[in-house]
Amino acid sequence: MNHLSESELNRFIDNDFSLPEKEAAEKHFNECDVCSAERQLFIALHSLLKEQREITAPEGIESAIMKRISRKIKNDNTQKTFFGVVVTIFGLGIAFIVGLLGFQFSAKLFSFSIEEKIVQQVNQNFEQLKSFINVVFGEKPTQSFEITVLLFFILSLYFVIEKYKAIRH
Amino acid sequence: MKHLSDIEIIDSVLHGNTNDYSLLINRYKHKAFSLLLRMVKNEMDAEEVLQDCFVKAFFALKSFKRKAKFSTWFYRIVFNSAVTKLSGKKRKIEQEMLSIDNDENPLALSLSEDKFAKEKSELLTLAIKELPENYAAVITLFYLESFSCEEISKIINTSVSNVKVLLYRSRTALKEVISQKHLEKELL
Repeated sequence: MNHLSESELNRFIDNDFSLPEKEAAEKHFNECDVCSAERQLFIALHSLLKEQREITAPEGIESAIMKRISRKIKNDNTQKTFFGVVVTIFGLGIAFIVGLLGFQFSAKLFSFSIEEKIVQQVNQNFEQLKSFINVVFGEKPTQSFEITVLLFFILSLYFVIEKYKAIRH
Repeated sequence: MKHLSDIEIIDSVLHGNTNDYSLLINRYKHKAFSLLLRMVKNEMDAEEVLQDCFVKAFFALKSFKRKAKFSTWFYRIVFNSAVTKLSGKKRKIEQEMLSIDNDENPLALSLSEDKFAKEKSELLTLAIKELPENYAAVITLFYLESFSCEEISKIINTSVSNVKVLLYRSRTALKEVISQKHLEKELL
């Protein structure tokens, strides 16, 4: 006589047998004490598992979680504000550089007449900025102003891209 | 407020009532802890992972698609977090050390201490903790959380037939653990 395998016994417990399979199994249980005992064991295990109780979570876990959440919200907000300020500054920087370059390029390309006073004022401001950067970073041997502007531009782009990613996320 | 459905609580939280999230925590903390404790087999780790799961779920609530039940979605986070925790190198080393220490009879100490005072449920939990984490997870999700095989397959990301096989194997393994530890009288 072939005994029922454990997989078959499991299927029997889960009612996964077709009607003919079930009838054949029932018949076998009536004839085979070994399988009948095994079936009783599985039924007992099944009932035991159904009766099991949940394990109590540690006390105070709820308030600990809520505290962690509020702390994280606070940190996120601080980071967002800081990042927002940085992006705004660098965004304005980009606008300034692009505007300045556009102004100079347009003036050369279309050779439109600009009031002398405005040109002087722009050039004066430009020179002041240049000398300030040269004082801070040194004039020689590198061209500090151009490098600073380039770095500033790259950084600005980086921050704007990061901000865009954060918004999308 | 106490009788709100999961979806109603989620809507409320998403509308800015952060404190309502505690209702969800209260609803799931014990069951999720039961699952974690049986998987990671260590109370401190289980508590830590449970906290992480609720925090993760809170910040991911916006991405929760309401096609599935919240519980299925949440237990998926719980299961994956437990698996991640277990796959950590440090954890593995500690587990190996523990398993060496307790290799002879992991239940012997607790049983000899106060064998008859232990409740059936506690003994069963000890026996389930002896199972590999996949088996412990499936058996807990099926019997304690009353999930169907379809739902379990979504949680542990496998096919329904695999879940059934896992369930069979875990029951057979549990029966063996019970018989190895001579707990038939107490449990079966």
